[in-house]
Amino acid sequence: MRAYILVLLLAFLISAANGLEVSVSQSNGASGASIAMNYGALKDNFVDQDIKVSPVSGEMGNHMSFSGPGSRYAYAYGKYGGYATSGFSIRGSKAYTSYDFSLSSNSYASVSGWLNSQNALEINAYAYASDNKGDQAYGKINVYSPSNNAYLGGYSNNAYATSTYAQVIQSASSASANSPYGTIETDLWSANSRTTGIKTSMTPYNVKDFSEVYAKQSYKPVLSSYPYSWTAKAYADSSNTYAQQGFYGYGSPIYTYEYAKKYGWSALSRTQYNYGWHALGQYAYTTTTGQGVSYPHWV
Amino acid sequence: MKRVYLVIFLIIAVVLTSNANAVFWSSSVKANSSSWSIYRESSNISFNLSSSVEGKISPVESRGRILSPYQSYYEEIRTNDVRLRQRTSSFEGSYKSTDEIMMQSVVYPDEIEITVDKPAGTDLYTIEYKNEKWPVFIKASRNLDYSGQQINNRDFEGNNGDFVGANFLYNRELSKEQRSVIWLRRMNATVLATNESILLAEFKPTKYLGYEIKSNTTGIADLSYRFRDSRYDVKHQNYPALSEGEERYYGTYGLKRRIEMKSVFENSNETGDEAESWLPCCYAGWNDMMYFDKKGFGTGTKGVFGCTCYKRTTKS
Repeated sequence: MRAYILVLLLAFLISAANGLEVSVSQSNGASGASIAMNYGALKDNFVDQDIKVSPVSGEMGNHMSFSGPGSRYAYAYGKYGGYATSGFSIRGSKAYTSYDFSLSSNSYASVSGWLNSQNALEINAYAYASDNKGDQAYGKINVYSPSNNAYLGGYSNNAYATSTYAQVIQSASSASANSPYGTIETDLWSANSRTTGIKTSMTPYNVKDFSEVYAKQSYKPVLSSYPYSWTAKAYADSSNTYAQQGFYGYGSPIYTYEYAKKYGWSALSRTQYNYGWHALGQYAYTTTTGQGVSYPHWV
Repeated sequence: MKRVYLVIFLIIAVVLTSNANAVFWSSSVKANSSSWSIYRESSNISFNLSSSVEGKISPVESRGRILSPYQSYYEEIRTNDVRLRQRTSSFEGSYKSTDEIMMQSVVYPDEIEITVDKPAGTDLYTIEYKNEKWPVFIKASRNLDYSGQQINNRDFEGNNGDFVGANFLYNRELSKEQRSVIWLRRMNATVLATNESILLAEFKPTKYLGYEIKSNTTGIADLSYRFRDSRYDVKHQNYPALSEGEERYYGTYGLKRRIEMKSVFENSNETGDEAESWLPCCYAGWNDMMYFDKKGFGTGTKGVFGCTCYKRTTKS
């Protein structure tokens, strides 16, 4: 399954950033939150970070900017359940990145991240949520340019989970990778699990129902904000899985893939290619009574 | 003298580990070849105890059996690495003790700030932990008089790495007057590191530990203390002692000891009155104590409780 490959890629990207690691955790007895950062800054890079920790309120916030490679992730557990995490990794010694996050660990778990990065070799950002029943939702974007000009602007994501509901949303105002070998990948999936309990591995382990939408733009790809900016959402609860995204961008080609699998049923999948500037909407879902995927709507 | 023939058990425990209101935060810094970490835990609690026991430890008959004469006392208080620990057990004999404990722990909702700074052109990261305002205050006294077959008594007072302890073992006669004041006001920490290693780590709680003991012992007496350095020994992964001592006495002695350990670290976020406004030091001053509190201690201990507020030195 594609998601497994992407998770392995993600793990590789995080482990690739060797360097100083700082982690911070807090808890008020019932709920907790943590962040972890791998800096890996070279001598000519800078790091400027300010973290606010408030165990009493269950809130944690962060603002940082840095140059060069690095990775961060933050996660929170809700008082009554739910797990949410958000993170990113940057490759490229010339990269310049600013990042904010806030997280809340109250009756629910919520982590929000905001990211701007430019002049990078690779930018990878993701959000993941899981509820107590093992329902999961995951979203990511990956921008890659061997010309070290990968750009992601106005990116934000949110992972949110209660005891019975898991959701991720993400959006960006623009992204680009001005290289013949440049790519922009966006991927979302949601899943029900056959085993209960919060999942933290970001893998659709023991999948019951599953929905996924995926798009890959190649050759000097651009993700634009006009006339439509990119938005994406995936969620899962005990009876539904849903993944959807829409964007306007350029690729040569733009490859799209939608997949829906209801446990015990045969899977539905669609793949399609298109070239040039296009607006695109795609979604996949499962419900208690069925499953479905959209034929990509190209404009 | 009123005599009470009984077996005595007394247990006091204020331990935040099991307290549902406890909050904690922790952090670690890991370089390729070394690491440093910190763990902090506290809660909004107060605890006051006043007790007096006087009697004769004697055999007790229960359901046709004779229970051996025995006395036991257990006391454990711990919050934000401030500790007060007492253990006493004795066999048949006369026993008299008074205890006073006043304890308060506060978790202010102020955000704890963690900054990471690495300028371009250097390999050095500076990680600062600032503004932890989780103060603790403990004032305690314990008087003990025993004469009989055997008594063992241990006490331990700790404050974020500093400690004072005394053990009196196998005593047939023991009298002991013990006073302690412990406070923790705030905590800062600083770590300097590169990607390869931790170069320097400083744990900087602003704290005080005052301890006074007068005793007459007839068995083994162990006295110890340790005043910890704020600087972390990266190689040995601990904080070395700035000053420490261990003593052991066999026989009959009169022992008196008074120790005060205090560490004050500037907090860049505090200025003027704010820096002096918190509870422990001024509150704990001898002149602020209630009459009944003073009465139990005697005037000789005024110096221990008269911990004047810290004043910044004015640079000329």
